[in-house]
Amino acid sequence: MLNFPVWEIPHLGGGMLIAIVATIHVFIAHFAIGGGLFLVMTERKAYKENDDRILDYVQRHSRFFLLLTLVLGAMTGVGIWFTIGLVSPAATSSLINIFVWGWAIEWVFFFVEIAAIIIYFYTWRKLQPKTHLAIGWIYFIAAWMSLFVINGIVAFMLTPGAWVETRSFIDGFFNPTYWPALVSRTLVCFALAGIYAILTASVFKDRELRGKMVRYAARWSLPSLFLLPLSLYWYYAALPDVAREILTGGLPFIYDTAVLSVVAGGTLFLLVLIAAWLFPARVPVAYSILLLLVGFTVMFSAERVREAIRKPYVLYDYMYTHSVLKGEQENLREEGILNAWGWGKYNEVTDETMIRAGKDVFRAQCMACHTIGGYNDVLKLTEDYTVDDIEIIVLELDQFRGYMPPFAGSFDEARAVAEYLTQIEEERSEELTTIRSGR
Amino acid sequence: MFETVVPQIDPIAVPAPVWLIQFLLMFTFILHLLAMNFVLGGGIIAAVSEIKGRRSGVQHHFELSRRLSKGLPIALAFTINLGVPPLLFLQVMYGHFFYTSSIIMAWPWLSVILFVILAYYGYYLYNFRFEKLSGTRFWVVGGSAFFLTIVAFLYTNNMTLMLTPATWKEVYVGSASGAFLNLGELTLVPRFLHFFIAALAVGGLVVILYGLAKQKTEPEFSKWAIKYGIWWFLIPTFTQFIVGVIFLITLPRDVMLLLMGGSITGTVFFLIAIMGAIASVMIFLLSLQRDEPKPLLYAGFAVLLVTIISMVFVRDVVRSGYIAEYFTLDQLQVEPQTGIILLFFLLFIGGLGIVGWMLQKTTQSVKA
Ligand code: HEC
Repeated sequence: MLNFPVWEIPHLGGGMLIAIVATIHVFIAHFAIGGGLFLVMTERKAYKENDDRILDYVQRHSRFFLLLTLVLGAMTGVGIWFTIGLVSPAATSSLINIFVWGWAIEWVFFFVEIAAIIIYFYTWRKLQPKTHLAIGWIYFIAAWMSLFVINGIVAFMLTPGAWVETRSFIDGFFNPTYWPALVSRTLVCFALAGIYAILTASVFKDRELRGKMVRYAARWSLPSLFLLPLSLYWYYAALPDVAREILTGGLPFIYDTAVLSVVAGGTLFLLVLIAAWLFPARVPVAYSILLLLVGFTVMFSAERVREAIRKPYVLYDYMYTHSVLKGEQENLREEGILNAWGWGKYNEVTDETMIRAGKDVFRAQCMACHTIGGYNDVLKLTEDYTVDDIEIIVLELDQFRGYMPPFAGSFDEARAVAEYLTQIEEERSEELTTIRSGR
Repeated sequence: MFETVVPQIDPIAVPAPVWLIQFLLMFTFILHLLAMNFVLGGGIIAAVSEIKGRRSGVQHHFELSRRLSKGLPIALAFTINLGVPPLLFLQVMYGHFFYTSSIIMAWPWLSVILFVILAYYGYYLYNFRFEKLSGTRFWVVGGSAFFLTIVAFLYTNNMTLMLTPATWKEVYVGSASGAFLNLGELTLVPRFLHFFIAALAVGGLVVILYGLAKQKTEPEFSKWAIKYGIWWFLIPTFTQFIVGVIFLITLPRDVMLLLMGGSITGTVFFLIAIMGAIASVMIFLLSLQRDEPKPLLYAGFAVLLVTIISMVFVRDVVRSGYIAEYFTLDQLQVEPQTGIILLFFLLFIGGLGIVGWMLQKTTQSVKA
């Protein structure tokens, strides 16, 4: 196993932290792509219709665009990179060794992208329209190409496909969910471009222009939102069986999250439709912020689901969520996880070291998915179990609820986690009783 | 005391020859360093000039701040962009050190993102609202520069922590919550100051360069800016000689000895760097007396560039020296992905071409 220490994140747990940072990033980054095309197409429209008000609008929109994408978009992108390195260092390390040249290529596009958007922004009305548009196009193409690259790496984690056997870059990159994910994400880019554009249009004083631009922006969102279910179904069909099982009810809270995502997506479609149809010229800023919030909900739940259906793997068919490589667990049962991991206080389980060793086994084997007292709280899950029950569950971890990986430790270590969990459970309930009786 | 643990090397082979990764790491790191120095040093110079301008009433100070305000956010965008490849290549070679130290200081490390975002918006505010801010300008630009100073400090923490595995386990066994800072490390403060002061000096160079660019159009301002920039280079660099010596003697003995004969590369580059630093100080001092300082200044730039590049090599020798007992690069398995590497270089050249084309179009229109 790749024996990195495991970071303890109170309440949230690593998966949730990743989902939060990733959603913020993705919500801006997809806009950075679709919004790029929106800029050039709208600028072109302004020239074509010879309408200076529209040109004014795009120019102002581009400032908002710059401040949002260049700063928050880029920095949260670095942020998600930092976060996965902290939460899943082993998986990040392997991903980087497999795809470092993919990332290097993505960086080239990122470089072209920021050069283009900065030049585009600072040369409004200073360049020939044709040249200015060309720079906008360069921006959009570079931005979409960076999605083209990163999508391969992200999709790989869930469906590495033939890579598991061949270990070839191309097999891993153009993996079974590559194309449906690319199409879905591209649609999301255009849907978001429209929704952000409604926001920047809704601050307009000029009612007629506001109505015109809201309708125009809705034409970006509606078709994309309409097509999205189709491409998502295509994506769904390409998923591994276990992932589909989790999604369709194997893990009830993930199923609920998926339903939330679909419902929020439908709501978003209706809200945009109603606004564009009934009161485009009077769309209030608050309404457009509501659209963004609903859009954020869609993305958050979708990203959350995408992360969750990867259980029990972090890199499918290769590395389990607790960083043990597939097949390695047999040896670790002999060797003991504490020995192999190395970050525990003790390497052996004895009567004296039992509780502390249990804590360290928990860090090494369970903390990737469970917290104590927070999200996916292990105490709540073990509430009704005795020490022996827990021990049995741990030894047969992959047979129980939760799509957990096999336990990769010795019998003594399984006992130690069970003792540890029971002990903190007891402390917890004692605390509760003292609080209650104190009242 | 615990036995030192260093995570295993990733079983997936490195997809390029190590020398190539190393070269790209150093090359992009130098570019990142230059951009970072502009952003940090330039921000501090802008902030100080705001105060000096107010105290002395010399308009040139405000004028310089105003022009720096335009460059800072753009330079920050490229600092971030150019920071990506060195960090990427660092992870390829030293991932097992870097991820571990990052986890041990997880929250401070993650807060880097927040501080950069704050600094970034501060710089944009400073740029877009320069006139309106008037009195509060110092606080805005100074605040941003301060946040970036914190970022620099956090980076120094991680870059030193990753080199000292002996501290890791003790901290981790005590708490896995990732709230550690490497404050017990002897080299932390000198190392941080070494980089920080260099940023001020390079910030001074940016001012000189700007002054040179305006020689024809604004001769008076140009003259002032060149002088002002030279002092911004000289004063930090004088202090650097003291800080540098302290940094050197706080290094572990065997690492220090690498630069004094122990390693040929280390010693040669260290000598070049020291001589370059001394030479550049003399050149810039001389240029203060010249009516036409341009040729001397360019010579000074060239010497300094060599110095900076040599320092990056020295830094590499120091890094491998620190961790030599745990890991050397020849332990990495290598299986080059030749086709993809070629594709990267092709796209890289193409990307540079496109950016070149855009710049050319822009400068054309500005002239026209
Ligand atoms: C891949 C992530 C993951 C890992 C690693 C993991 N779990 Fe779980 N575990 C889950 C999920 C998800 C559930 C289901 C939660 C639910 O149904 O609300 C679960 C459920 C459980 C349950 C309830 C089982 C039942 O059927 O009642 C117990 C007990 C449990 N985990 C303990 C552990 C212990 C102890 C470890 C470490 C040895 C561990 N888990 C490692 C994800 C994980």
